[in-house]
Amino acid sequence: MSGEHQPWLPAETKLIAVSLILAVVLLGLLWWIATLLMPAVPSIVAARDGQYARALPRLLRREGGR
Amino acid sequence: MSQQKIDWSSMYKKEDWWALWIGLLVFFLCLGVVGGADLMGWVNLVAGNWLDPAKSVTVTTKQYSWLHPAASVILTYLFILAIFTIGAAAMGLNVKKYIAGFTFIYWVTFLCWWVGSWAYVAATPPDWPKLKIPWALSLTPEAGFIFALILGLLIGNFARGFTERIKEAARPEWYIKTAIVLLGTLIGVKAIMIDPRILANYLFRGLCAIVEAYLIYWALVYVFARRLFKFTREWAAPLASGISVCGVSAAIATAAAIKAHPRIPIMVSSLVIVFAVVELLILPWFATWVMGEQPLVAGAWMGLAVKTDGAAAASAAMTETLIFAKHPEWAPYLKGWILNAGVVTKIFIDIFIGVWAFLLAVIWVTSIERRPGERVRKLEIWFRFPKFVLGYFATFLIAMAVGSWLVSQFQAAGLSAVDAVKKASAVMDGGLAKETDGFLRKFFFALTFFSIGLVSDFRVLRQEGYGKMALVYFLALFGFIIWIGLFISWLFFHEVHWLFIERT
Repeated sequence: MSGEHQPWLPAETKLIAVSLILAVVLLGLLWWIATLLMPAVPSIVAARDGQYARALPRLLRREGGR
Repeated sequence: MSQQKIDWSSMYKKEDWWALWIGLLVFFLCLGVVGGADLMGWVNLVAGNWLDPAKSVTVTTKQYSWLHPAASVILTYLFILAIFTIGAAAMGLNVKKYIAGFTFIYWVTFLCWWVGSWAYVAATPPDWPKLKIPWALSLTPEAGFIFALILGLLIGNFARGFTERIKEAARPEWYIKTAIVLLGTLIGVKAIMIDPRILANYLFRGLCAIVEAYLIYWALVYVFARRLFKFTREWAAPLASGISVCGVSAAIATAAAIKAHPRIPIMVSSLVIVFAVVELLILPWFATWVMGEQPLVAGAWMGLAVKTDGAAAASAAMTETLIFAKHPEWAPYLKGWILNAGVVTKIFIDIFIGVWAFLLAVIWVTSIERRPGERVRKLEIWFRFPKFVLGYFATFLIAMAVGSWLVSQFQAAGLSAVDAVKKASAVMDGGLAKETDGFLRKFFFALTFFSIGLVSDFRVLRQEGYGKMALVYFLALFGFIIWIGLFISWLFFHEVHWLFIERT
């Protein structure tokens, strides 16, 4: 099934290295965009101005009652 | 390299296209209800939490209340049989065998669905007092999925002779792709009620999944197979795509791109299908246990971890069912969105299969195998593109556009913005979404579950020669793939459900 032995080529190292480095860079970038520009948690400001009024108690609890 | 011509016949010979055609046909027939032409209201509905068998089945809309439920059930069967048989005939399947097999699959699935909707099976604790029942299994009406899968597995593995006779119609990928085209409608209808910023946020997070599937999973599995298990490149690349990207289609696309022996993707595909069922049987329960408080993480995780479209969507649907059984208070806000988190991540992964196959082909030709002068066709991207995805986006965008148009009409008639959205949502939800999703889309899902069970032959894993490949698959999948998938789903989807629940 796996057939004869095939030596590992430098091109394969390059493929894997580029893939993993790109993954780490992209993941960091996407996570940063998601956190900064598209926050998953509504802000207390948004909750107080009525857009997320139902979130307010939970957010206040999280912020320690502030 | 010679110029490659587009083979237009694939538009009526391929399952992928037929999922698109059938999905769009059903969608446009159902869309008539918004304009006052109710063409599909006669389709049967199975009542959730029924207690009286005589009242367990109805028609979809009041306009057809004159139709006897039994007639509605028969007509629905004939309609679904007809549209799929036309597709089967065009694809060159044996029509007689298909009709016989489909008829059996249809009625067994219907029975599973009907029993799964019985109050003692489906009702969750908040409904017990209203229904005046002291207990129930609390599996929600989607319990039919579970019954269909289990029954399919039993028949597929213990009545192999019989299964062989009905196999012509056991086509889980076809049924799930058709269902996914229709799923776009539900999401489009719901989208008009959702703040566009939340929707963009949600879709963006789904898109992030492809980084993981293609750049992390693939690279790790490839190294794992090549260095630890000494597979040749011809085996390691399709195996890596099969385990990490999108199962069957990715293995086939990769093998074609690197010109591997045709038997390789077939063997990988059989493993993918068997392991997808194993995942389907385990992961939804596990996801509910570990991520029951983060429903969208659990849904997206199914899209990242389960490797066939059918099993991934089915796993996400089951996860949604199990999470709503645990948190019934979330159902009004999150219905469809947990399932969709799985489907969206899977679809984004699917979309890039063509691009990935193209990239691999370029890398193989230019770096790994160095075939001088050979060029890779750009058309390869289109050939590998999953066409049913076009249907998902079409129904999603059309439903959203029609809903938005209704909102503007109601606003023009003097309603406030909030009331206009509410009224448009009621029209869309009670009309279009009810007709596409009340029975048809869910039933196509159920057909998928039963068909997955039928085609899942656990003997495959025991066959000679599969052992080493199965070991790689097992170790990679359960050793790191599902855990990285869980981490990345959590990274991008944790707490996102509150945006849906707490939006005022």
